[in-house]
Amino acid sequence: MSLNIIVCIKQLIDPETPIENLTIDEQTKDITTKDNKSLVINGFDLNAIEAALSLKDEYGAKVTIISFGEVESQNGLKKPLAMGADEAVLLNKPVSFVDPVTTAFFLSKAIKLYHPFDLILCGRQASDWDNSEVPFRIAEHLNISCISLASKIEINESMAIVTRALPNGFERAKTNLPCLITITNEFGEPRYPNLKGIMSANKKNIKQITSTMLGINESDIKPKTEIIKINFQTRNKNCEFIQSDNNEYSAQLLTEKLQTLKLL
Amino acid sequence: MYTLILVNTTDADAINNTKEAICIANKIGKEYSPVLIGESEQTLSHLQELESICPKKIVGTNTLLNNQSLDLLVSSYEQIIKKTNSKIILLVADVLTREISARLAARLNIPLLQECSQIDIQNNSLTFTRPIFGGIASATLQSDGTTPLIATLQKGAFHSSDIQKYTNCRTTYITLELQKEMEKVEYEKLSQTSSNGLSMEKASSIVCGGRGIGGPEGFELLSKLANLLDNGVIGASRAACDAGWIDHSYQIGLTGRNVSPNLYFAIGISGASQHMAGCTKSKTIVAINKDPSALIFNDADIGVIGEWQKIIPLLIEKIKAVK
Repeated sequence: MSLNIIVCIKQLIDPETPIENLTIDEQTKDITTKDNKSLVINGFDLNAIEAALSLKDEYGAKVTIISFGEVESQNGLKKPLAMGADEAVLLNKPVSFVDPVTTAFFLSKAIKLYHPFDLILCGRQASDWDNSEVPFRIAEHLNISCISLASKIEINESMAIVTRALPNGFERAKTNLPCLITITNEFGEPRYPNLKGIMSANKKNIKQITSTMLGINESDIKPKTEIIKINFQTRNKNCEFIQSDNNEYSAQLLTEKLQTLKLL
Repeated sequence: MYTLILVNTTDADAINNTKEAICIANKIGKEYSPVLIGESEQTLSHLQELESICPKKIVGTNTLLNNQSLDLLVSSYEQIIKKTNSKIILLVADVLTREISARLAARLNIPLLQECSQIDIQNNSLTFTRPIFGGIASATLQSDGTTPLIATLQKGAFHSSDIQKYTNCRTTYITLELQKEMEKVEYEKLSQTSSNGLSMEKASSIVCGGRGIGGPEGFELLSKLANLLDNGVIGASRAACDAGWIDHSYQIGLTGRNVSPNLYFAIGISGASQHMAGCTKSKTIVAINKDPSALIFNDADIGVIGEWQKIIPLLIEKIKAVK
């Protein structure tokens, strides 16, 4: 058995970026970085890549990475190749604000036209907008079953058996292939690329798919939601510091403070 | 504007959630119906509790609905939405309703606004405000005018006060057209950790440890502190859970639990916005960190600069002495 696995990934602003380095892009009205620093792969999407590669180790698979992004983001696709993915595809994004509806539309269309699959994996949500919307829209567009929040996947004949990590415990879900599964961080840490992987990734080309190849006229793209404004939250808490070389004194001060606040 | 409120009857807080949604429905248009699916005991008892505050209720029925299938739920809602002339559909956000709403929005080709913390009317059109980037910013959005639209509401962001009471309330039963083949995924419960979860959201004090805790042993010390505090439990950041030091059911943050205790200890936690998104509603945040420039101090009310390994045992002694 060899599986065709597609992993949809998003490249986004590093969530660790300090707020001082963020600003609003006049054109898209979305958040951008002041120094135009390169993007990183969404953390949950790295978990999804790991899930695909562990299935490849177990059952044998061809792993294809698809990302909907601007042309400049193609270098970011070298990392999943170095981790062990077989192919990476950049779906060229028209430079303007795109909503989840548009993203899902492009991804579904590209998958339908160019990439036969048994399994589509996605991170549970993206750490910038946290919509957790695109994977479910893709599953509906392709009319396949979907299972969310996987912490473990087994493939048995033509069936996916998934352990779901839910806020109140674990659940098992079963469905026939083909299907879409979203991956949560409980799946496990993504592997690091090794030297051999990095060398072979450097030799691989990133495939490009344009709107024209999908038969999409860019002027027909009409987002269903639009940003009116973004405000950065000002943190106005005034932290009262306790600092002393004498830890016992610090502990004493903190205890007194908590007593005054009637928290003990 | 006629509003449908899709009630997640599996949530223990279903009634409070629905009341929050009713307040939004009242603000934007007065006419609303909660939608309940199935005829389980849970559904019927919710229906009774909603009796006097909902003049019109909708219940979707079909014998196939006994097995709580997500696929059948989505199809049920889809059919009810198509049969009603609603302009806006509200759900209180959790992992289940967020999946349902995304699938519904795709099937019906309509806009979806996730995790709204505020909904306003401006020049006759609705605007939706929600936290983004782990809560360091908020975005206000509007839809393209397609109706209906779906909005999920951030749990606890809306107040459910002064709900009008009605007499002459009625319930409309809609028989759904469901087939066994619509159920593509089979679900089976494996284990429940909800007792811990429940106590966490209701705890008065939480002692939360992060990457700086360095291993599972540290959480034993944090437990000792938690046990001394009023209704105290321990929690953890995602980094500590991912490292395997403590079970993921203890995770607090954007993709973990959202807590609001009176006293929140953040220990060895850097203060990344994804973590803070789960605890900023705490009344008093005490941070202990050896790095004075740690982000956590921006959100803390009291900041202790020092090594937690040394401070916590001393703090435990001091608290014992005054108790």
